[in-house]
Amino acid sequence: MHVYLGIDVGSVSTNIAVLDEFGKVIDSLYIRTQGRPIEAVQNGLRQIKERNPEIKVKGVGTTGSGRHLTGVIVGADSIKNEITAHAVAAMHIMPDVKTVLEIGGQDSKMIIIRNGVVTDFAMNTVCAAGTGSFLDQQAARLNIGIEDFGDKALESTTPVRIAGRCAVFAESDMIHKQQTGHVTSDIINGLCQALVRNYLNNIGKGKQIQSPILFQGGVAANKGIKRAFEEALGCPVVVSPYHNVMGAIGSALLAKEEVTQTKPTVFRGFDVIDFVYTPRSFECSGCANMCEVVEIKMNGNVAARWGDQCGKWSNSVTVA
Amino acid sequence: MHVHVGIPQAMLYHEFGSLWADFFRYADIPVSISGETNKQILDRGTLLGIDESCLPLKVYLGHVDSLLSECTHIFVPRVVQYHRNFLFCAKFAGLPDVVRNTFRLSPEQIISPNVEYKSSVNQLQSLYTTCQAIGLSAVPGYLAYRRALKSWRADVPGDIGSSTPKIAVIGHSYLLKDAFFCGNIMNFLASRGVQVITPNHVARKVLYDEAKVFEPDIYWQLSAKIAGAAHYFCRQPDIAGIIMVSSFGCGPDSLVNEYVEHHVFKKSDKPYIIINIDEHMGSAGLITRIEAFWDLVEWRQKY
Repeated sequence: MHVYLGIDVGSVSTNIAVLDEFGKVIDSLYIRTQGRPIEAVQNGLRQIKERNPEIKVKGVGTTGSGRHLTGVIVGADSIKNEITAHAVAAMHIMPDVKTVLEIGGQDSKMIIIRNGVVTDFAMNTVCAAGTGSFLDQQAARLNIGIEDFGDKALESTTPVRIAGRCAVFAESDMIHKQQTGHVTSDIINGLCQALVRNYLNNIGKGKQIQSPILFQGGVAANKGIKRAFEEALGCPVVVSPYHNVMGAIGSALLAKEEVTQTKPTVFRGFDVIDFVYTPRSFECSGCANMCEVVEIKMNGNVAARWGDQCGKWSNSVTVA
Repeated sequence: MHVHVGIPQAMLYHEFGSLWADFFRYADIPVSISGETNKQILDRGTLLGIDESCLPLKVYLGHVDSLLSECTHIFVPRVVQYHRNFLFCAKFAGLPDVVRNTFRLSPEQIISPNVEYKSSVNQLQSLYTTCQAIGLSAVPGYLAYRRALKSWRADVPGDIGSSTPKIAVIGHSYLLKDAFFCGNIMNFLASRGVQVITPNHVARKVLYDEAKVFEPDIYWQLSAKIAGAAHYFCRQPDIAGIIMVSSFGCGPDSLVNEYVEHHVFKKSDKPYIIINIDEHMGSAGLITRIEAFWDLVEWRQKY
């Protein structure tokens, strides 16, 4: 069976989607990156290959903050930013979507779509308050599994107001509420509302949020956040059935576009599972910019370098 | 008297630099321009500047620092007003004092003519101050200034041609012309075959005239150029999108950019993005946004 692979390597999770030639999702995988993106990708591909031994890959796309690294490792036909990948996937799953809310591990974004075209987007800046990592951390602190976090929030009966402007303040506010005797479920629900308020104030500032609204990213699994969005926006919010692998779906669709238009895939094949990749970084001393250059070796040979501003190192490698 | 003048390649150098450098060259005074901004200059400037100052000012101090070992004098004009209707941000008026106190320099080491209003009398006064500081007599100084002024005025922006698509990049010239700040953006756009147009490609008079539509008047001269450029570019059919670049901690930008966003960009149908640059030069987030923005622009052109 001919398929397209999409790989989304994010800060927290690495996701792979397998799409058939008609864009139908055949298989998908969500694993933790755990700070080792190369191993995560190799692991993910191994599982995909084991579960679908008969697939023939016609194209590969990568996205996420690790898209360039992954692009080199697997040999990608399309290396696209996560905003575009999420927009493409959202329109594929829900063709009439007008607003995409996306909250991932360390970033959150909003994409405004009108008549099948992205007209505006916003992404959080340096502050990661209100993203998945913070929820993870709070769940661990309260000794609640992140999977149960949403259900716990839904049990809440009394609203508790948590300051969501900053993750550090939110945490101390939560501790204050817990020490004064508020119920955990109420505090968690308060946190969900605070995160949504923060998201809408920061990312959604001045945006025309119109339904249909699609909610995706790892945090979309959290029913508490979904309900808080619905309350704040006053309209239903749809959680995509593939919410946690939307970036991967989008990049597979982008790869499909890329290979049909031009040339056969540059995918290195599933052999990459067993290739030895050795990354290293060094500070270039060529000028006062002191760029941190990253070098990836594949089976002992330099496959790519990047990070330099002048191109002295990156241009000296021809294998892409 | 041994004189070697240093001009920091930062801030207003990107507006008036050729005028200043040419003046010293025509007067046969040794002059050095600090190199392009690099990480070392940024790091030095961040250490030297106060926390609250804007990023370009920190970078300016880094440039001054790089000149001190070789130069006897640093040229830091005090620019208050240059256009009849607008003023400069207060940091330009205080710049000689900031530099002098940061580096504990004596007043003689700094050449700081006062540019207070646009008049020939003021120009002559400034010229006189400068000549005095470097021991240059008035007549050759005047001739050198006339020559430098003539070539500066003749340096009008050239037409950049009409090949489509075009992206307008708006911002202070000391950000746009500094590859350390905007090189990433410019390189990315160039790699996609996009032609970039900036306010520097538009005649100054056009920009000031465009800025007249704003009510109330824009107080700052450089902001007026930026707002004027936004107003101008939004009406040009060959501009596919607008990128507005601002630096962290810029007071005028924090007011004017909001105003321009609501009253100019949102009312036009041009795609736009506002990019804030700070000293945490993580280029990944910047490139992600510019890439996505370019996808959006291309998308819109297709449909």
